[in-house]
Formats: sequence, structure tokens, C-alpha cells
Amino acid sequence: MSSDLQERVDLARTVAELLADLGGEERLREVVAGDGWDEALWRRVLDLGVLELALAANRDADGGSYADLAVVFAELGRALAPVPALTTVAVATVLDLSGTPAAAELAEDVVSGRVRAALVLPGDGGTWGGRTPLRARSTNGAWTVDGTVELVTDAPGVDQLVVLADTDDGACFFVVPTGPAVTITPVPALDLTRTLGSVALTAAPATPLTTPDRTDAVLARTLDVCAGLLAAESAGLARRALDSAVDYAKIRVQFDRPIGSFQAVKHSCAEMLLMVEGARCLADAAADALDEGDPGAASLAAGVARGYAGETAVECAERCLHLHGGIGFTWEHVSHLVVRRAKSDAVRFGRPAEHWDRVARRLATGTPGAAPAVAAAAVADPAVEAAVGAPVG
Amino acid sequence: MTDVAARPAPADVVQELRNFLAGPGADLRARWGRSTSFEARLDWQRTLAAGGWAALGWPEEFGGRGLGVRDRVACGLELAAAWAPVLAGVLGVNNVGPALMAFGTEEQQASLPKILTTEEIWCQGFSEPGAGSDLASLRTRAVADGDDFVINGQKIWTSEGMEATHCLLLARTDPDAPKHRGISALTIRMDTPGIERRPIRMITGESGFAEVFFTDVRVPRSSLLGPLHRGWDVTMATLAHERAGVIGLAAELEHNVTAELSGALGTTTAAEGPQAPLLRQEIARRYADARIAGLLGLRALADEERGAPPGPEQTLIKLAWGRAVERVAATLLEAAGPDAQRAGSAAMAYLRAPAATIAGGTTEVLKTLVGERVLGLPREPRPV
Repeated sequence: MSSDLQERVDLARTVAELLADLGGEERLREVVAGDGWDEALWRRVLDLGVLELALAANRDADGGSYADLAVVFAELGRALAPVPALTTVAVATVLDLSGTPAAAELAEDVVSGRVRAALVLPGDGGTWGGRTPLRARSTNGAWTVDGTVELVTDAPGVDQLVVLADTDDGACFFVVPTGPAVTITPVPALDLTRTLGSVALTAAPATPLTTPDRTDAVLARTLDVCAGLLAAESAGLARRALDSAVDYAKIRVQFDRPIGSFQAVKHSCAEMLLMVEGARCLADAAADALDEGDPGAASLAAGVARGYAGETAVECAERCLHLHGGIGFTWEHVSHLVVRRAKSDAVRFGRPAEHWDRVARRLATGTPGAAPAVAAAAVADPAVEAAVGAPVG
Repeated sequence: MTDVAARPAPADVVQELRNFLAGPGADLRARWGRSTSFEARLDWQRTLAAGGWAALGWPEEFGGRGLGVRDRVACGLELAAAWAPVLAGVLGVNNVGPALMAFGTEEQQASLPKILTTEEIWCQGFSEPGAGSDLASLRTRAVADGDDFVINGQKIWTSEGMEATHCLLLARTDPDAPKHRGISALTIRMDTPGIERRPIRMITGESGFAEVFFTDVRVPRSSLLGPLHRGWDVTMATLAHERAGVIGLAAELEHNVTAELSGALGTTTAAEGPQAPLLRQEIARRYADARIAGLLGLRALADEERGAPPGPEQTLIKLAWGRAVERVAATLLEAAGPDAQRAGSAAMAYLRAPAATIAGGTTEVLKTLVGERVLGLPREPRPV
């Protein structure tokens, strides 16, 4: 336990140092001015081998867990790293869960960076995993896919697409290599630290990954993994907003005082810390639940973490911008990059409201189940009573 | 401290407590149900004390269980699950006892076993009409007179003030010193002539605390707890003991509300009508709030076990807990639908909830603490 903890602290430091080395604010501005994508940083992240943790975690093998991966994603969020890490893990997870040796091999190529790939899921008004607009057909055993998906994160420049497409027997995942039958058009993105593309397939040759009966399970697990890791990333992003706000509040002087000495500012920062630490705790708990293997518990924990972290990142980003006053409203300042990423992330892999709704469904069916029968009958009274019983005087 | 190896493993302690709660505890449940009346609390504490379960954290030499924080929290959950009310002498066990152990004379420490058995019920004479959040500005005076102190002043919001046999009183002994440096802690009997107490009725209609008046109350100099004028340090030093307290509260909250929130999702209000989807989402958010309190507690527990000193992060747990208590109560009342009009248990819980963000440090005071001690923001300038 404690050695795990030490290893994770070391892992966080390694990732943070790497990102600080190559991903400082100057570099971030260059990337934003360019194509929203930092190839050099991405290569360094890949060389670190941290995304390979995703396969170890998925295979329940030694050498990697979702708890480790959550540490990495928290740092990626804190650094606003303009790299397609979550997309890469999402693609690798679908591939690895589909269970064929060829897919597992491709998953390894994806996490090592030998192959760049994007995951094409229908946004469908924010409901991830809803009906897909893509249609797959088989002619003499050769599959092709048709259709368009408007907003695919990290799509420009990929070698392969993993897509969810309907067949006569139900939806399945397919691998679609990019080529003449695939058109990826860059879409101007709110988030300047990620790229976005519209993907159009015209009889694009495809290899099936899952059978219809496996698809729902693969999709559900992948969404849980992504929700959990994006929660960690959002917690890191919110931390960045808090740190930036606090640093500024310590040095900005108005009315002959640092503004951080005013309660209005100080209390706002304290509230942000409460949200940030809450998001981090929930994200870590989600990662632990993903590692532990009870799918219901993992889904609940990932949903809670994602709902809370998504709202927290937006709230902290907005407060950070506000606290910087005029300077926070400028293109040069990093504040808007945080706001853009937080707001954009809030609809990826489900909006907070969808996650809360899912959490409520699970709670209603009693999935959390940790409370023994006697405890289920006990009310909050003892806790409240104790508060009355333990005041200052 | 006793030999660590000789102590039973955590699971054994919990099992032992479960056995106790299935035996004598079952009788108490049969007798009191879920009552939190003072009589029920007395009966529970006496029975727990007889079994050696009244003071989980006290060292064994003082009659406690000598448990670490994790075991105390685990045992606290068992007690809550068995509908054990708060101890009648909760302030004696949690706050005054540890102070007596750390600073008390042999004579003062003779109170310890009586605190366990409820022979002595202690209250804390801290807050005053003019000294709430700014406790150190308290004005109750204790003037040295020969071998005695003579006390004049008023205390308020004194929990268990009506039932207490004894009081740990903070009084000003040096009016000329800076405000934190002129306060002394005194242990006094509540039947001392010159003490008058009046109950204060809470918003629920229950009587929970008292105001206590001191008029020329004469106590011997041996009442002093710790050094003269160092009463502030005496009380602050024992605050470390609250670590287990706040972690335990957070764990109990998470544990208890999960079932309640699940139940609320089954109500008509959460199932039908335009408010239903929003209410369901609010209920899910409350689950997150309660879970955060519990998880922050767990993290503090892990820090403790690694040997990290109690940090100001504790304040964060208290903030998270208070917020969760308040929001959960409001959401559960919302889920009650038209039944919210009834003076039932959901309404009473809602009325009691503000205590969580007032008692033991208001939300505003705690946010200032977090801002300055955790985030390192500059202090408010002192008034000139």
C-alpha cells in the first residue's frame, strides 16, 4: 500500500517534470498558435511508456493499474497537455476488450505510438453510445462502412479509426484504416489544446472487432474507463485553475493589499480547493473501482467521479478567469485555455447531468451495497446529533 | 502505551464490538429504539462503559480501548449502525478527558473513570454572547483571590449545560495580556454556589444547550488545568483528538446517507412529475457530497497511519462534512414531496442541519483557515 503510494508519487513527479520541461506555458502558446497538437511532447509521453499502463490495467496484469493511470491523467490535465492521451487509451481499450489476437496487437501499436488512431462514437446530442449514424455492410465477407460523424476528438492525422457501426444484427465495433474512402475534415475547436475532426466514410473497408452480443459490454466498459480517467484529468485541470488563481491572488495588489487577503477572494479559493480535492478523491476511488473488477461498482464510481469532476473543472476554470480580472480575459493569458478545455471536456463521454442520472439509477437499484442491513435502517441523526453535541462551547 | 502486538487486529476489535452489540446492545435497542433522549444516552454509555467500549481512543491505563484512529472509525460505524446514540458524556470523553490526561493533576485525573461511567457529565464553558467565532475575545473573568479564583461572567450555547455535573471553563485571568495569552482553563463543579443555568430551546423545539451565568463563583486554585494564562494552549492541544472525531463523522455520514438517498429515489416525487429528473440528479449529487466527505476522511486516516502530523487539511473534511449534512437534509426534504409539510423526521433533520456549518467553527471561519493555512494566502490585516 505505502510502496504503491510512493511509486505513484514518483510517477506523478516524473510525468509532471516531463510536462513542465516540454509543456510550459510558452510552449502551450506556440501549440495553440499552431495546430493544437504537440508532436514532440506526445513522443515524450509515449516514450515514457505510461499509456501502456492502460493495457496492463485492462488485462489485470502486473505493471499497471487504473490507479496509476489516474495519476498520469491528473498530471496531463494540470499541464493542459495538448496530446491525444485519452483518445489513445479509449481506442486501445476497445481493441483490447474485443479479444482477437490481431486487435490486441493493434492495441499495443496504438499505446506505443506506432499507430495513431481515434475512436468514432456518435455524440448524439451528448448521449454517448446512443444510436450510431454509421452503417456497416458485408459483401462476400468483406465489410465496408458508410456515414458521417461530425465531432471526433483527435481525429485529424490518424492512421486508423475505431468506429461503432450498425449491422443487420446490431451495432459492432470496426477498425477502419484511413485512405481514399475516409475523409477527415478538421473542425475549429472550442478547446485549443485538442483537435477535432468531422469523419466521413464512403464504403470504407473495415475489419469487424466485436460481435453484436459483445459490443454493448465493450462499449460500457470503455465508457467507464474513459469517464474515470477523464475525471482524473479534469481534477488536474481544476487544480491548475486553483493554483493559478492562488498564485495571482498572492501577488496582485489592490487597495494596498494582496487581493488574496480579502475574504471574498480567499473564500472563493477555499471553495475551489474543496471541489478540487473532492474531484481528486472521487477520481482516485473510480480508478480503484475500475481495478477491482466489480462492473456495477466501477460504473457507479466512474459516473460519480465524472459528474463531479466535470462540473468542478468548469466552475474552477471560470473562477480562475474571473479572479485574474482583465488580464484573464486576454488571448495571451492561459486562463481561457483552461476554460475552453474544461467546458469542452464537460460534454465528452457524457455530460455531468447524464452521469448524475446514471448514478441515480444505480443508487435506486441498490448497487453501492456497502451498507449492511442494520446500517441501512440507521439514519443520519447520530452524525447530526454529534454536531450539536460538539460545538465550541 | 501497551505492546502493539498484544492488541487484537482491527477485525477482531470490530467483531468483539459486534458481539457486544448483539448481546447487551440488543437489550438497549429493545429498551430505547432509536431514541436520542438524554436518558437513552446515559443508559447506552453506562452499558458501553461496563463492557469497556465507552472510550475507544483513550489509553488502556485510563480505562479506554487504546484504539488507533482507523479502528475507532470502524467501531464508530458499528455503533451508529446499532442505533447507539451519542454518548451522554460525549464532551467529557472526546474533549475534556484527553485534556485531563495531558495537563491534569492527579486530583483532576481522578475524574477520568467517572467520565466513563457517567458519574460525571462534563460540559465546556467556551462560547459567550460576545465571543463565538472569535472565542479568544471571551470576557468571563477569573480573579485570583487568596487560594481561590472568583468567577464572574456568562457562557452560552453550552451543550449538555443543563445536565452537566462539571464544566471545563475558559476564563480571562490576565486582562492586560494579548487576548490568547490571558485565558486560563478551570475545572469546576456545576453545583458550586453562584452558577445559574437556563435551557435554550433549539429551532426543532428540543432543548439541546444552555446559557450559564457565573456570579461571584468561588473555586479553589487547584481547579486550574495546565499553566496559568495558558488555557488557550490547553484547549488547542486537545484538538488533535478531534481528528478521529471528524473522520468518524464523515465516515458515518457517507455510510448512513447512501441508504437514505437510495430510499429517496423510490419516492413519488423522484419518480413522477416535472421535478423528477432534476431531483434524481440532485440526489446523485448528494451521494457525491457524502462520498467526498468519507473519502477525504479515509485519506486523512492514511496520512495519520503514515505518521504525518495532524494538518490543517482536517479543516477541509469538516467543511466537506458540514456542507454534505446541510445539502443532504435539504434534498431529502425535497424528496419528501408534500410530506415536507409534516413535522416529521426529514423536517427535523433539515432543521438540525445548520448546526453542522455553525458548531465547531463556522463555514466562514473554516474557509479563512483553509485559505491561509492550506493555500498560503495572505492574512487579513489586523484592525488598528
